[in-house]
Amino acid sequence: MASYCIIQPSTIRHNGQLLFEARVGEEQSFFLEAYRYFDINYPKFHKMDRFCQLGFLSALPIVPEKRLAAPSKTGVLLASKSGSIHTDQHYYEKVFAADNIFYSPAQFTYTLPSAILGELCIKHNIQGENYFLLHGMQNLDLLKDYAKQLFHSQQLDACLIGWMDYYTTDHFQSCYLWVEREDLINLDTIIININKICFDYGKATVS
Amino acid sequence: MEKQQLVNEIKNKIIEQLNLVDVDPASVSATDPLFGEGMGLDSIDGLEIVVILERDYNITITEIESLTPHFESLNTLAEFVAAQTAVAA
Repeated sequence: MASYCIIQPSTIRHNGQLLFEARVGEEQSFFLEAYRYFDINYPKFHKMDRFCQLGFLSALPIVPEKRLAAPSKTGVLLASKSGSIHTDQHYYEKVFAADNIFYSPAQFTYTLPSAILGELCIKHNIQGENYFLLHGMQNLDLLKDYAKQLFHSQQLDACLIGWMDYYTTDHFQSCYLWVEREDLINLDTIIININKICFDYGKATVS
Repeated sequence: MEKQQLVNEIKNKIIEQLNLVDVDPASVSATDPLFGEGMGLDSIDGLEIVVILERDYNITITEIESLTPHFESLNTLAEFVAAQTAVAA
């Protein structure tokens, strides 16, 4: 059954319901507090950059732990406007800092925005189609059309679709949707509603 | 530096460098495997440890593959650091 998660600065909403909200004054530690809210033991989370942490947290409430679709028939399709720009800038500053000749290999890894695909596939045992698109449209329409094609061609039985951007601690947003084959008949309506919920609000917060 | 002191120093550096927020230093013993079970590190973490060796102990690593036996545990890593820094001194 379709399920969606929207993360904006200080809040996580699951199917429209407020799931987690950072306490006033603790927005800076939003990602750490949100991780602790989910009460999972996943040390690799702390090594991820913020972009990956955003995607990781967005998928947590909606990807079922037990699902009917086989791992090879489960896909993940993501899009972003900014990609890993936040990590890129940090890495660039470190590389060109006069007093630092030691660069972090881990940080370099996350200058590839598609690293989030690997993180999600490892966590949720997703082995089907992987796709990461950098583009400026803030909606899920293109990914929806691609997902429909993959469902129709029998390549997928379930799919995680997501759009995300991370700029700074108070300037980020994600919108993730979990769909299964049974949702296909209503997918256009689902996407229209989610686009409206996520991106109409997004116009005021993310540019 | 005493071996145990060096083990603890390296352990704290690894925990800090790898941002192992949920790892209690006291829960990691000197003989725990660094990779897989134990501290649960991966190949990218191994490269971060190389950064620690080069940056903090001034050890030049030319062949990463040769480090494998030294990366078994904190004990073996401390022995490697002690030997390399003794040679340099």
